[in-house]
Amino acid sequence: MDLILDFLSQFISQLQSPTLSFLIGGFLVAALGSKLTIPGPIYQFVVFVLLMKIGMKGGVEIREAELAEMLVPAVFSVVIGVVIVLLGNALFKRLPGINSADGAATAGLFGAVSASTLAAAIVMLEEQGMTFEAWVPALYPFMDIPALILAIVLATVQREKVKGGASRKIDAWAIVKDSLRSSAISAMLLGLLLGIFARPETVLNSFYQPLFRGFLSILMLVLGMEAWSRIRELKDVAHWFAVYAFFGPIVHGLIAFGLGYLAHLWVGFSPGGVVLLAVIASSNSDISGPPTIRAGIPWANPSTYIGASTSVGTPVAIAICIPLFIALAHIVFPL
Amino acid sequence: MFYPAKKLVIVTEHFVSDKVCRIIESCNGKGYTLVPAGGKGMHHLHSTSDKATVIEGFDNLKIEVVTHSREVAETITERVLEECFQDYPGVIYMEDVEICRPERF
Repeated sequence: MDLILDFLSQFISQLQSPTLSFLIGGFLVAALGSKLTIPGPIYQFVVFVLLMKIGMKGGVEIREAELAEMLVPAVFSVVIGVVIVLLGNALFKRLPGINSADGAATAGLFGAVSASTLAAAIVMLEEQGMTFEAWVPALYPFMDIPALILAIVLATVQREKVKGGASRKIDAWAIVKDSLRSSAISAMLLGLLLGIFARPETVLNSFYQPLFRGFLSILMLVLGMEAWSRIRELKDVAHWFAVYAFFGPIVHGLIAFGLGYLAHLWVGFSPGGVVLLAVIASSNSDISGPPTIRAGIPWANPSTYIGASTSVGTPVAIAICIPLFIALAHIVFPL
Repeated sequence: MFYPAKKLVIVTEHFVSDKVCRIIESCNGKGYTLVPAGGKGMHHLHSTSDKATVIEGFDNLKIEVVTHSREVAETITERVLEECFQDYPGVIYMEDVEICRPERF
């Protein structure tokens, strides 16, 4: 009961936060058919600044951090990414009327990570005064890349089983390179390296840090508008994708919260870190994952996985999962 | 001043455009023009506006090749159909055009 009450009060207060209110605002603006648009290059710049700041801040703090602490959460991140894809793939195989490639592709995106959800969670944790290890955002590729590779392998194996004949070689290294070179991850990694090896504090504190929240609000507006515009695509495919996209993020986040709690007991992983790990797990890739999946599983229908991820999965991860895991942390950890 | 030639037009997804361009070059196409494309086809509506989309790389391109030889155009078409359009959507058509400076094609 406490959990529900706490969650409801968190939820209502979060609805008024800039992060969620801009997301809902974007959704409403698009639903009402407004001609308001944010140009593509501005969106790309916003993503760059956000990820650069996250990376740089992580890098600056990693300099003084005990990196051995990162090992257990990093291993858990890989495990979570793999488990989400295996679970999703097994589930979609059992559902009626689902093409197995569409199922594997969707499971892959939900195992992968969303940079925008991660940025939103960081701001919401800061607003709550919950601290986390600065390297937690760097867990992103540990979960993202194995999930995408596994989804492509599963879809390819399933296709060969059906079709028979010559086997298609999967170039896993090419997928790793593609993911690391994607705009979101490369901005974060560049920031991370600058933070570790250079002294970017002045530019971080005078430029990137002050812009962060304002830029996040623009990103949320774009996500809201995109969510509405993709709903139509989702209507044309099996409704199971929408059901999975609603419940998947919550279940995935809970699995990660459980593993994060174990890491808390074993290596003192912070409560804020546990929440962030759960949010990373509940998020589904929106910027860099879809092109990787499209290139790796071109025979899957993009409307299924993109519709599920952008129109349902991401709003659920941001609007429900972040407040849910913050509320859960307040109950599980004596804060 | 103007000489007759063939223009082969391939409209497809960004993801497969590199492969299409490699095929054009390996079939003795001497060059190509890439133009951003949008519209509606069998699959769904592809936006033409410059509004932000969250997902990267799902834009469409129109690839135009001008050549003297119908044979080159047909070889390119066969290979693109075989190697790219089994998995990716796309449209191919050919037009008669007139060109100046024929040595460039």
